[in-house]
Amino acid sequence: MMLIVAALAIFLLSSFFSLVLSSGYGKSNSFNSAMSILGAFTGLTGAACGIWSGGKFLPLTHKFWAHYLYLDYLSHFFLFVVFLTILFVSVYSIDYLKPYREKKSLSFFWFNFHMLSFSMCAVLLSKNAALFILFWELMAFSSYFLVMTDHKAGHVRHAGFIYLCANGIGALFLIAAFSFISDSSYSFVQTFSHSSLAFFLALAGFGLKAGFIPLHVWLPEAHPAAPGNVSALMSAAMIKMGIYGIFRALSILSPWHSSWGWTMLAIGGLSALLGLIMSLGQKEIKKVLAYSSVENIGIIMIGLGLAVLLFSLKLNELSMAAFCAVLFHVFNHSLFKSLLFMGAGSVLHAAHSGKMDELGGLAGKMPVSASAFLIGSAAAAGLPFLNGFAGEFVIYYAAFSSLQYAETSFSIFAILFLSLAGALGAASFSKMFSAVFQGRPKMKTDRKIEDPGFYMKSAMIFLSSSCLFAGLLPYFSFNFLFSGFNQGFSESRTMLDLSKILLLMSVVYAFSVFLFIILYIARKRIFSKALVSHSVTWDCGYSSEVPRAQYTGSSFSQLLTDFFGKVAGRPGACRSVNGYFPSNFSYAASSRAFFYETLYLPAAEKIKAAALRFSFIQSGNLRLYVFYIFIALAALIIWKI
Amino acid sequence: MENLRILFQILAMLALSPLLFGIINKVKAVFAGRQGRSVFKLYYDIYKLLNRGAVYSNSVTALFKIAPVAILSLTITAALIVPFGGQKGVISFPGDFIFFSYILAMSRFVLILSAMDTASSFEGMGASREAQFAVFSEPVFFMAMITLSKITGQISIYGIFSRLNPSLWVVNAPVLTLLVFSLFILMLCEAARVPFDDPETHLELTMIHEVMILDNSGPDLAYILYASSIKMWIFASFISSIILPRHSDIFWSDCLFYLAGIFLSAVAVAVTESVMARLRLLRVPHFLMAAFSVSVMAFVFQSFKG
Amino acid sequence: MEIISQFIVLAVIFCNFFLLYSYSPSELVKFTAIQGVLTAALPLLSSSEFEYQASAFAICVIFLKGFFFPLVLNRIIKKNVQYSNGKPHYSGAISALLYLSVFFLSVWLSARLAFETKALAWIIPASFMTIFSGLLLIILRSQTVSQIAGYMVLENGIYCFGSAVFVNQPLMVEAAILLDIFVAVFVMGMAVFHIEREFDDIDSEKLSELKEV
Repeated sequence: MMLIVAALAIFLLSSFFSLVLSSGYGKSNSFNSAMSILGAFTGLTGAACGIWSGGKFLPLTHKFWAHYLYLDYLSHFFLFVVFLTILFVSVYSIDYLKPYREKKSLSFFWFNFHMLSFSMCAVLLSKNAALFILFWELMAFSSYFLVMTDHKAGHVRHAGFIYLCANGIGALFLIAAFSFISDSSYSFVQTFSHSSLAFFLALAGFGLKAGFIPLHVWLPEAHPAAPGNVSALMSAAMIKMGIYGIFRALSILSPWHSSWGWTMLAIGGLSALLGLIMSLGQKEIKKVLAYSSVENIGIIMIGLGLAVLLFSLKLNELSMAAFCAVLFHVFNHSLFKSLLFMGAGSVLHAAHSGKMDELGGLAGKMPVSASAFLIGSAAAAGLPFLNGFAGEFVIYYAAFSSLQYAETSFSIFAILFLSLAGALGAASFSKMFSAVFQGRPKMKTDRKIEDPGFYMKSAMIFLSSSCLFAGLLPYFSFNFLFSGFNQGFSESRTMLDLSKILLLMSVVYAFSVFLFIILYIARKRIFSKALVSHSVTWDCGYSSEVPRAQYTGSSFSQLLTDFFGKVAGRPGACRSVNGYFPSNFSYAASSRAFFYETLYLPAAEKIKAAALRFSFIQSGNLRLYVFYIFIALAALIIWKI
Repeated sequence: MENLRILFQILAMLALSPLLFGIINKVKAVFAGRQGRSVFKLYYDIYKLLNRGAVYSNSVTALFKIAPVAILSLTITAALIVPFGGQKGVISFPGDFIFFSYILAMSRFVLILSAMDTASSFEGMGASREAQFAVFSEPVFFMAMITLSKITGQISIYGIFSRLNPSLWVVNAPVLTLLVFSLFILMLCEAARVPFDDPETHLELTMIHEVMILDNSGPDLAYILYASSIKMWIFASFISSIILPRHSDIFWSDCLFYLAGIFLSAVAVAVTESVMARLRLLRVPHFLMAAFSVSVMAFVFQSFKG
Repeated sequence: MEIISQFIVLAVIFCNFFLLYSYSPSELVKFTAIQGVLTAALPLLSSSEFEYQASAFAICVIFLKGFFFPLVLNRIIKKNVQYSNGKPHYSGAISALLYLSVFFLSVWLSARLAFETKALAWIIPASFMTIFSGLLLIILRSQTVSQIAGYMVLENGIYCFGSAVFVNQPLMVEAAILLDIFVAVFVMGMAVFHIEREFDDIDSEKLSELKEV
């Protein structure tokens, strides 16, 4: 598809421009954003045509392209998602990066931004494993540099380091998986065919990028550390590369074993639940959003597991519906997650703090950001009228439809995981929204809090309207995205049923909105004759109003975090109270990362201790190192001859 | 004829739902040896509130002012999915109970946000507890739906309830009894009755639903009270459709049975309220998990039968 | 022609001997240059007909290895006059032992590998020996010039090996090797300059101060 290749060329060119012309245009936000928008728009049209036609519109037939590039429906879909995200994030970046411009030159930032866009799309286009890994690593490095934009802060460097480790280990798993896939003569133990081994290696490698539990530890570090637009791009587009990889692994490896489906279902369920439980205990906006990404990836994995299991039971139509549900959720998630990160970015711009304990009452002063964030939160919680619900509904539908067949015990797990995730998501997002935007400001600040600049606002408005559109009229987005899938819509009764149901849902939404309008008009008429006055909030007669007495985010979620205990990451550190009249007492509550501290840090310490025992090999003597090389070469030669 | 029936369904639901709270209060009064309030008290209350003005707090935004309207419209939308008298609800499609549950979740979300908007610690307390209860009650509902779907092989509410008839009860009595039990507990939780919440008081012990609407006044409060009565009706109709299923072609007799079932469930709620005390707050998740395990037991019974 | 080639191969082998024995840096540079010129001249003499390309290339190589590299290295030696005495830590007997073991190792290796060369039967062992003596120079000497010289001797050996084995496309291989050594000497020259300026010393023993643990 020449449009897509043109988009890629634009990205590549703008990356070189930003590096080469680092004194003039390269630094300029508007120039780079304009190039990025141009590239994204070009690619978006190409990908949209590709999706609509099922990958058959203007294929790349020239021999040169056909050798290196591979474009089918799946690539077009993910390209669509990626280009859409890049488009909106570029518009957002024009205003978001303005405070950075005074501190440093942004040419390196934009170079990495364009490189990230380029490599993400190139990963989706690569035909063979070598190109895939090459662009995968390029994606990893450019996103690493983007995460480290504020590298003067210690926690940012720490986050970047963890991210780099995750990328490296993921790449190792991927290389191992690819070598297993290509080497068909390798057979393992009887119970485990080597395609299963390859699949699980690929799952681990892609999982480190996608971020499901327990491979998610870099997400809550890297997303808060990165600037807002980078987090939006990473969370909405780059994480999906992991999902794309799993899709490709499924399409290459066959036959599908049901253990794969069970693993993905278990991983997905765990991620969905634990992600939200951990997000309940967090005190910083972006960390909550990062854990919410973990949750949504969990929902995606639930859908994938369900699809694989349904396919292994020969329920092909339902399986295809589940795959479509996964893709649908990928699309919807990129929309609302980038919206949420943009909202978080505007809060950071206005209040210079992302800690929920210091914010509050911002809705009155930042109405646009607040409404955008509200729409994003409702979508992320999977509530109806917004697009998060549509994807979950299709997964539910596939699971429930398969209940009639006796062997489908896995559907129950899928349904229960999803329902718990829905309720926890509503709790977590209502906590975050209310702590940040509602109530009264918890800490006094002299900053002028207002809505962000024009481009940030317009990006958020665009995204919230697309969330609303995709949510209120899921029929359109569903049909647009999936008519070209596989053999086409009209052959699958499930897909037709689903589109009819989604149409009905839109009718119900319309009816509900109509009801709302009627009741609102009735209320207005009542109020035109009634007496309305303003007073303080009812405080049971207590005369001085203290903003600190209101429920903060942590108190809101206290019941749930106490129930889930250490997993939610809230060990309160307090000295025990002695006696009946204690004089000194202190309490400190901090949000910890459960998996990082219980799993990864001890493992890292042990590995480090074991490795230090071999440190004598590194004597620092240069000539000894050359001797090592010589020994290794000699050993290889002698072994071979 | 069809349209007339639908109109009758809607009107009956809208008109009769405030009666439920009156019946409950009357039965509780009988238990306590009092005369109690009138059965129609909620109607008078709603009318009185609609004619009053309102007082708004200084901390609230526009969200607070439109939340009651949203809550009422969402609850009425959810109520239209529920079957009435053995017939379809106004809205019915495969998978509608998922939609139904999430519409109720949306109205709960809006209520929580409007409570947090007031910057009051009371309302925050109620909102926090409400959010926690929701986490534990959602799986109960879905597990009950899974079991019902497995029994009847259908995935829409009307489909499920239309397949329930007395002969099914004969075959599946233990399963359906367990299901009714867990759905009853769910109704107590969602409609904020004892043992989850005491709608009579506003003390800290019972600050859950009642306290979230502490700052609403006038027509807003009228909307919210009406919405909570409709919610009670919804869950009572679920129970009624299971315990007294009747699908003859005569609409009127079906309606009578259905209304009798609703009346019975209201009386059961009242009896429960009179004999039980409110649970300790920390025990509520355990109680809901007990309801969940009852549903799971029902499912296991069902699977191992067939 | 063939006799001259055989003598040249023998000369290469003896150059290795002198390299392992000498410890003065200027001597090292001298022998390295001689060895380089000899190995560059080999393909010229072994082919029967006269090829313009090969001879032009060989003249370039002779210029580089015989003239240019020693010039660079002598400048480095002159700048660091006080460290020009790089006596190795081991005695002459051990040098002889090392030389003999390298000789036997290379002969054994070439017997195992069984390359077919045209007439010069000893060229493969000679190239292996050159490679190994270069490696020994790097490993066993601590002075920087010794290390650079050792690297160049290594490259000589690879060049010799390449000219012996690659009959069809000698030019590409040799050009690659030449580029390699050119860049390496260039970089090493710069690196030595900077290291000396920074640390006032170019003894690689002192580098072990920088190790981590």
